[in-house]
Amino acid sequence: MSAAREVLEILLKEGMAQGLSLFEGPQDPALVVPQGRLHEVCAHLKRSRLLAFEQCVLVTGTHMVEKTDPKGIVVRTEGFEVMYHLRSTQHHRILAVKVILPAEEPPTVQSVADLWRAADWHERETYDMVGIVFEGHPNLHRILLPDDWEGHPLRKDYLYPREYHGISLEVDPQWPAP
Amino acid sequence: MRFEKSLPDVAFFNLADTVINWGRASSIWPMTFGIACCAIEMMAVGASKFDIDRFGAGAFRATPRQSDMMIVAGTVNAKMALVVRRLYDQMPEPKYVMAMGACTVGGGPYWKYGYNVVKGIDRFVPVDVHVPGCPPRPEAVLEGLRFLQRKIMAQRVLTRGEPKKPDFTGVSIAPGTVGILEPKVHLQGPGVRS
Repeated sequence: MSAAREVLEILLKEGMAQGLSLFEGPQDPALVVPQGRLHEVCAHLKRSRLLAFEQCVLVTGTHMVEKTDPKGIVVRTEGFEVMYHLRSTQHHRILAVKVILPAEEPPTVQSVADLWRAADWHERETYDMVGIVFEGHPNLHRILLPDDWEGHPLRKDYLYPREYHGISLEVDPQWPAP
Repeated sequence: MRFEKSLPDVAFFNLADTVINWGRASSIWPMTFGIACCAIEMMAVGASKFDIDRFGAGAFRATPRQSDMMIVAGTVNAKMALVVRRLYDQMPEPKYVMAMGACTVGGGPYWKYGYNVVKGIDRFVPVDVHVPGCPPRPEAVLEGLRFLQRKIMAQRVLTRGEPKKPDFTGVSIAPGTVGILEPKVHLQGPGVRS
């Protein structure tokens, strides 16, 4: 049995499973948490004796565009997804937690930086690249790009900057010659 | 210098120019900084196998105020470009810039889709020598240094008049790998052998 199913069963027993579901993908399923309950569920995942996810390995964000199958049915609407990869060294489990956000501006999700210190910089990077705002983050500003940068580069609708502080960033059309 | 480029173009002052240029060309002190992977090759140039000290340029200075040449070794992104420009501004005259590697010559692999990479450092600093390659061989860096030395030897320091043409005969180790380019003029693409 995969880790996400085990975790969901334990959460059901402990009465924390309202609104949770499984995202069936090609790999292990991920635990889908509603936007408003993320911090509550994550705090339980960390503190419960049977779960004890004491490490936050990764936080990533994705800008999802609308996708249709060959019949023209919309299988995925536009929006954002935030993934949290958690690890429990006591129970030897790796869990992927997913939050699906609607396409609103700015996409907002609760911060888990107060639970895992490792999430601090990951959330800053996700904010920098995708523009997801983490509510309650202690120090949410850009981590890689300069503070006065415009836009978030990993958005699908990102427009490349033409110049930065007077330095041209445009592709020179005449060179290199084809 | 008060007499700089003011004296008549006669044999005696030409000789003085030659002596001053010989001194400058024989002790080009580079600045110690590497931005990306090209810096590894730059360190190899400084180490014993290739030994940039044979050409008088082995004294890597840790401050821009004591250095004559800036080897920009690595990808320069927009955030870094302001710092590189500031380092260049802090160097005393005469100062020279070597653009080392495909990224600094023209953006390299980030040429089209690198949203944050400056496509060539000659967009914000004047470049004397372009050394293409990803990364360039240490020999190419040495060749670029010798190109720069010939370029310095053709400078006018005291005498006025038309700029002299540098004599590049016998410099090139591997012809076509390194180019002396005037700022803002591209003669050669990154890594393209003519």
